[in-house]
Amino acid sequence: MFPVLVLFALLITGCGKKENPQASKKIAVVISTLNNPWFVVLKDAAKERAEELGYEAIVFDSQNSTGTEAGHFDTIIDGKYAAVLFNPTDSEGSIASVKQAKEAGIPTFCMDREISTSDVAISQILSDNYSGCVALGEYFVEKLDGKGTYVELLGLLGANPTKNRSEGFHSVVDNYPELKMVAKQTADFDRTKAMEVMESILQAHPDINAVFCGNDAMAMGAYRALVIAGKDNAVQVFGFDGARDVIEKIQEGKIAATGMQFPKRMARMAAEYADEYIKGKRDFPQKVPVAVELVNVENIDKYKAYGRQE
Amino acid sequence: MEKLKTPAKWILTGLGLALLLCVSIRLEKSDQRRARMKTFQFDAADYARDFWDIGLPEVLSQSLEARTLIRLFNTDMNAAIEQGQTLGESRVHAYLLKGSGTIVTMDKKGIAVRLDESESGATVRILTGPFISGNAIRDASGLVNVSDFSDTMKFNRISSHINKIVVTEVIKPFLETSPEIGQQVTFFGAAEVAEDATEQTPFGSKDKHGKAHLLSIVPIRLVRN
Repeated sequence: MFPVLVLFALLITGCGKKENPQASKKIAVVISTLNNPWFVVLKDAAKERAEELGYEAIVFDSQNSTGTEAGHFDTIIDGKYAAVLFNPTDSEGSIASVKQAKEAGIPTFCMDREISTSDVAISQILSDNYSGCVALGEYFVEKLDGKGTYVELLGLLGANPTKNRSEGFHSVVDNYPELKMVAKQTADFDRTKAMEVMESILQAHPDINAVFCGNDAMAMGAYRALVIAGKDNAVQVFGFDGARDVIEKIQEGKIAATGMQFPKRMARMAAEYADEYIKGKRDFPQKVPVAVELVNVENIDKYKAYGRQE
Repeated sequence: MEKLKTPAKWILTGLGLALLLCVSIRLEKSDQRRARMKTFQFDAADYARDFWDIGLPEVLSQSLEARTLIRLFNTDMNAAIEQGQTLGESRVHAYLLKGSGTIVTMDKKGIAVRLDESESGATVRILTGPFISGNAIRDASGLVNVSDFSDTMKFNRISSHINKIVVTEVIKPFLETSPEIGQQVTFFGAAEVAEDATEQTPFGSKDKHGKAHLLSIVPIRLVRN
C-alpha cells in the first residue's frame, strides 16, 4: 500500500509543481540595455530597493537582444532566483522568456516596458507613454502655433513604447493639416544613431521647424546634429524620458520639452511587489500605468533628472 | 475490474487521477490560449461603440455636479481626488460631470458656460473643437480596466475612437443648432484634472499669463435648453 501512495504522490507532484524558488534570496534585475543613462537609473533603483528589502540583486544587461535576454533567463532559472525585475527588450519577443520563468515557478515583474500578454508576468508597472505623448503633442502644437514642418525620430520598432509614444503624439498633431511631417525614421533610441539620421534628414529638409524624438537620448543626438548644422535656434526639439542632459537643456532654453517618466518609482514598486509576492501575496494588478508628466520651461523648477523635486 | 487485486486497482485509480489532473492543467492552458485569440481579434472601434451605447449611459447617473467639483478642488483637494478615477499611479484624476448654465463666451475650441446655482459664478469650458484628445471619458467612466488588455495600445485606441464619436455625435449636432452667447445649455461630460495645475492656479483664477484656469469638459451629452 505504501509504495502505491508514494507513486501516486510522485505522479501528482510531477504534473507541475516545482522546487520553490522563493526560498532563494536572489533577485534578478534584467535590463534591455545599459547603454542609455535612463536604464542605468532604472537598474540602480531596482537593485538598491531589492537590497534594502534584504535580497541579493544580480544585474543582467540584455544589450537590446532578445537572444541575450533569453540566455539570462536560462541562467536565472538554473540559478533558482526568487524573482525577476524585468525591463523587456521586445514586447513580443520577450514573452517566451517570461513564460519559461513562470513555468519554473519564478515570478516576473515588468518595469517601464510591457510584454504584449497579460497572463505570464505577475504584474507590469509601465510608463503611460500614450497619455504622456498626448500632452507632449498638445504642447508641440501650441509651440508651433499649429503649422510648420517637422521630423519624427522613432525608437526600437519592436518595442511597445515606440508605438505608444508615436500614436499618442499623432492622435493630437495629425488633426492640424498645416503641420506636415517631412520625415519619420528610426534611430533605435540611440543618441549616436539619432545624430547620424538627423544629419542626413537635414540635408534633404534644411528648413524644418521641429523634431519630435521618442526618447531623450535621440533628442540629444538630434540637438547635436542641429548645433553642427547651425540650426539649433531655428528648430524646436521635443524629447521623452526626463534624462539629466535634456532637463539641463530645457533649463537653458535649448530643448522645448520632454515627457518625465519616473524610473525610480517604477523600479522601487517592482522590487516591493516582488518582495510581497515572495512573502505570499498573490493579488496584483496585471498592468499599472505610471503617469508621464510634461516638462517644459514653464514648470522646469518642479523637476530634476528622472523625477520631481522633493 | 473485479478480478484485479486491490494494489493494482489502487495503481490504476491513481494513474487515472494523475492523468485527469494533467489533462485539467492542459485544458486550462487551452482556455488561456483561446482568451488570447479573443483579445487578438479585438476591434477598438467596436469596443468604443458598445462602451458608448451600452456601458456609458449606465454610469452617467453617477455624474458629479461640475460646480461641486470646482468647489472641492478649490477648498479640499484630497476630497476632490477621492471623488475621481485615477489610472494607475498618477496625479491626474478623471470625473464624470453634469451641469447646466449660460454660454458666456465662444471660440473655435469650446464654449465657456457660467454654471447655474453656483454661488461664486463658477464657469467651465466645454470642448467643442474639431477634434478631442486624451482619455477623459474612458477613465472617468471607470468601466475600462487596463489589466484586461494584453497590449496597452488596444486600451489607448479605445479612447481615440470614443473621442471620434464625441466629435461626430455630440459636438457636430450641437454646433448645427447654432448656439449663441446668452443661451442656456445642459450637459453631461468628463474631465481630467491635474493636481499640479490646480494647486498652482485654483479654478476660476488667472495664471501667470493672465489666462483664466477653467475646468475643461469633454461633452457626452450637450443640448441647448
